[in-house]
Amino acid sequence: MPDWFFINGHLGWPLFTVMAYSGFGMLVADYVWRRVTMPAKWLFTGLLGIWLLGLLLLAALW
Amino acid sequence: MILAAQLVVLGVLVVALMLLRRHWPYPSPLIRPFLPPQRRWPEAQIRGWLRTKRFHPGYLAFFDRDPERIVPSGPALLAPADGLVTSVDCRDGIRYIVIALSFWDMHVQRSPATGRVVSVERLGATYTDGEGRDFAFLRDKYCPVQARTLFECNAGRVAVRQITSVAARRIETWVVPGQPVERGQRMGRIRLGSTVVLEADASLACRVAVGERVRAGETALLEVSEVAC
Repeated sequence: MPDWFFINGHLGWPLFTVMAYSGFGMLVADYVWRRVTMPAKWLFTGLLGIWLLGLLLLAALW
Repeated sequence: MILAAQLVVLGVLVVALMLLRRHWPYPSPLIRPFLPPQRRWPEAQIRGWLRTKRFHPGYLAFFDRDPERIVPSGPALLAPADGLVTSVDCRDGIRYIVIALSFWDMHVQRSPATGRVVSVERLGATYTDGEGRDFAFLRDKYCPVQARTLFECNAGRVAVRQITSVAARRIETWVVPGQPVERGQRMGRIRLGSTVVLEADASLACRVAVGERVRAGETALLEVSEVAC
């Protein structure tokens, strides 16, 4: 089993972090979408950009 | 231990995402309390509840709110309801101030002036004011149901008309003929209803314009001492 998937009896930290970050990001995106009044396309692009930046940051930290 | 903690975190996220999916396109109960009322219960969702008659208890509790109001001093006639002024027309010597209530407005009506209740009429389904005059603003309503409360006060005879539709059809009037009322006193409620009309003498100067938002028992609508119209 690859290290990034399962290591030392628990989920690999990269996998866990990406899953938790993505799930949390979806919840936050839903909240922001309901609070902010702006074109959905801009909002989607912005949130996607933030999510990708977060992934890059996580990758860089690893 | 670490695996258990990871699974708990992911489990909580999965439940949150399932709630989001289940309530889509409406807000998940997790974020609903943090949204302003119009986003907490979107109009499409409320219209759906009107069809099925099954309302979210949180929305009903919000709808039934009855906050205290600080009644201003002075002789002016106060707004009988919260909402948006959609008409201030004069017709046959009477000024009709039409206040449209949205699903998110407070729905308790208040007396516009200190005085006495002369009559409480239930007019049933009609497009007129009971005296043959046509109310154009009722045309887009499905069979309006009305209650008209007439007051005798410092501005002469003033009436508050509570209007709803057959879909909602519940008007509560808490005052009875002969009862003295104070300015800003609670006088009734429309359950899921939509329009309140203040009728007063056309000679009273109007202090609001179409498009303004007014608050029951707080916003002065008509100046009693001045002459206009």
